[in-house]
Amino acid sequence: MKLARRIGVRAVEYLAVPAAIVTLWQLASMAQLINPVFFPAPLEVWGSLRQLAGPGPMRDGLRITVESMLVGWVVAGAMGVVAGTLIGRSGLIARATGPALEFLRATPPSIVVPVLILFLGTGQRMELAVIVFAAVWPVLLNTVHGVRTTDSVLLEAAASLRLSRRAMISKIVLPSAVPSILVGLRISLAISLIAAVVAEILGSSGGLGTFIVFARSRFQSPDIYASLVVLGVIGYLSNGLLRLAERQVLRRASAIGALGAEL
Amino acid sequence: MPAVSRHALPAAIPLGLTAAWEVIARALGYDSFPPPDRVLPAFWELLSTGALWTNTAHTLAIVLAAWVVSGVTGITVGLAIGLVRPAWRMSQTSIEFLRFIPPVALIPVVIIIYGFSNTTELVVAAYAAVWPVILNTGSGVAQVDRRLLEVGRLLRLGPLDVVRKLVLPSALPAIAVGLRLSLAISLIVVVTTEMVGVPDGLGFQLVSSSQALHQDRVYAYVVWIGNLGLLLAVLALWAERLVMPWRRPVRAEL
Amino acid sequence: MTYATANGRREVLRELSFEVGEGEFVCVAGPSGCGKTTLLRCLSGLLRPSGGEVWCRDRRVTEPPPDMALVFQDYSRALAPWRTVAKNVQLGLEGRLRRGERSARTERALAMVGLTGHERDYPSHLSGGMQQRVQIARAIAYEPAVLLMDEPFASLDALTRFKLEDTLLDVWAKLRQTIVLVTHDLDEAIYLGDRVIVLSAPPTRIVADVAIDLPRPRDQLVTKADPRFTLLRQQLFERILEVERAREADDASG
Repeated sequence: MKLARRIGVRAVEYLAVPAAIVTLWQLASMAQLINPVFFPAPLEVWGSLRQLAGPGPMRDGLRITVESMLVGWVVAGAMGVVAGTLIGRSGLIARATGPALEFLRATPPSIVVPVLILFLGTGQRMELAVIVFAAVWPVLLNTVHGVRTTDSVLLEAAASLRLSRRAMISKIVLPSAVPSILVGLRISLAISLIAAVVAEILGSSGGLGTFIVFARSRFQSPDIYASLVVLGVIGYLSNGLLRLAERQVLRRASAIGALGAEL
Repeated sequence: MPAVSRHALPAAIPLGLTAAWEVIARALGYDSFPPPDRVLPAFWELLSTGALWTNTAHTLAIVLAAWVVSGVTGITVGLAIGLVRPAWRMSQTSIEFLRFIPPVALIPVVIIIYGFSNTTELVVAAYAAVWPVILNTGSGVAQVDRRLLEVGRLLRLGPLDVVRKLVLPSALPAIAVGLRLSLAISLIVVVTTEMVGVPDGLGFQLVSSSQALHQDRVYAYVVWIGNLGLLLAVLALWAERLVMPWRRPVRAEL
Repeated sequence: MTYATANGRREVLRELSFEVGEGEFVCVAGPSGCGKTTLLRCLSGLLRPSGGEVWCRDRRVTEPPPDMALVFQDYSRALAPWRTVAKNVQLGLEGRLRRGERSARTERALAMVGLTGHERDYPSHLSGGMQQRVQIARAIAYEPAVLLMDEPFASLDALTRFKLEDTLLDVWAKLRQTIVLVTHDLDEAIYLGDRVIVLSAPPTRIVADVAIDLPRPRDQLVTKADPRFTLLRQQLFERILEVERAREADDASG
């Protein structure tokens, strides 16, 4: 009985604040205390969200955004792991590429959009390019870190067993870098979503970003807010799922610290 | 390794790439891919007419303002949720949901409210930049070594002293990481806002040049903004080292 | 001081009751896991015993009292890495004494542990033994009536341990506080104390409470060569074994 009560209290704690905010907002709207164009009532936003139930521009937009986000993420992930392993293993490559990578990494992804538009137009190909450009860094950096911090004793033991270079990487280095890489992939997914929306707003590849711009030009605030909610949910769910996967993997791997800073 | 070759290697790739750029661009002859020897004069022109400075000043001013606002807000909120366990739990849902809303998606809403103004840039950037500060501060505060807190109890330090003398300094490395991230994010978001709606600053110039088909200027701006980002990152690392002389800064990671 | 306790669900300390006289140096020895640290934490007010009471100078101890100090075993976690040695020592004095008085006490404390000249160093620059001295200096500067020490030298190598044991004896000779020192090392307990209390394995009880009549000042070579030292050690070991065997017999007969 006590356990059930504790779970109940916890549930309330987690949901209290959002529930309170939404309720107050709705009441304020109904009392006409806030501008409906700036802050549409939650019930109207809900009405707009119901568009998703059937075919329409919002659902198409959602599909395009999620598709681009996932494809871009996978490509960025693969590139990041490969490049990260190379850089992590070779001091030479690390020093040579260091400054160039630092520069690219600090470059806001949005500013490469005009350049990419010149080459790839404003469609989904441009969007994917932006996503990959933005999302590769967390994976790359975390892979480098994971590879570099492979236990040196383990490496020596493997060397004494005369493992080939390929075996060394696939059996020792990469597995021990997995926790770090997973964190990088999780952060990279969040960035993929952001980059996707940036590309969609600056270009015209469809997707929720474009949908938002369209809604703004018609002052359809409920549509805009509904899209924001959808984006928030996508981010929340994908992050949560990856965190669960991370925990599962980490439970079996040894606790080698991954770069932990929170985005 | 002798000094010359130690510096030569890192310089090799950028120089090599620039040379390759020159050669390929000349060979292709596309308007959309100007070689460096066309971009450089464009850059010089922007520099000498002062256009570069005024726009940089505008963008940087807002970046710094947003950074300060998000820093103060983030540290305060982070302290609160790090110190008070129930507060952490109650804020989790909201934080985990709100932080994933892409800031760029908020620009249209904020434009509706504040128009095409500096305030819009500030609001969107501060919103985006506050999350790493909140999260890193919160976790830094929550993870203060228990032993140190016990020392505080044994020396009978008051709660304010505990926070001021033990908790905050202990969490400082984590807070610093959060602030570094938020600076980078401020720059990115301010520039993006200028590209998407607010007609002022470096982002706007970039987009206008692109629309006016001044490709050489576009590239000039891209390189310039990239270097600005790098500069800010380096300054932030340097400042971190200054503030915490007793340790080396956490190597930059996202 | 009277102390008696029984600890709750995980019964760590079953029945303990003893008194410590003012200015007495008492060592509490026992095997790992017998609850020595728990005992000390209860004495210091960090932990509330589930049964029984702690009294210090006619006042009941329910939270850390102003006239007690505790020195931890893990010195690196108990010192603030961002504070210099001097600032660490002053931690308990800030806001309570004026600056002049604070510096004076800090100087004196550091001199007593042999760290004059290291005021401006950071803990991370010091060896383990030196860091532990800083912690002791902090406790001294606080000028407590009772000094509690939780296996203070267990994390140090043998030579450093001997040096610090003697440093502690010097300090005590000058200041004559009441000291309760917990250790797993029976030799150390006999060498340092006026009195040794030996604890059994859990559920813990007092196995022996013996006065140490070795002459003071103690000396690492002379005292340990004294036949009475060996005799005491033998007596205590025998007592411990007796209790062990009695318990095993009890367990066997169910």
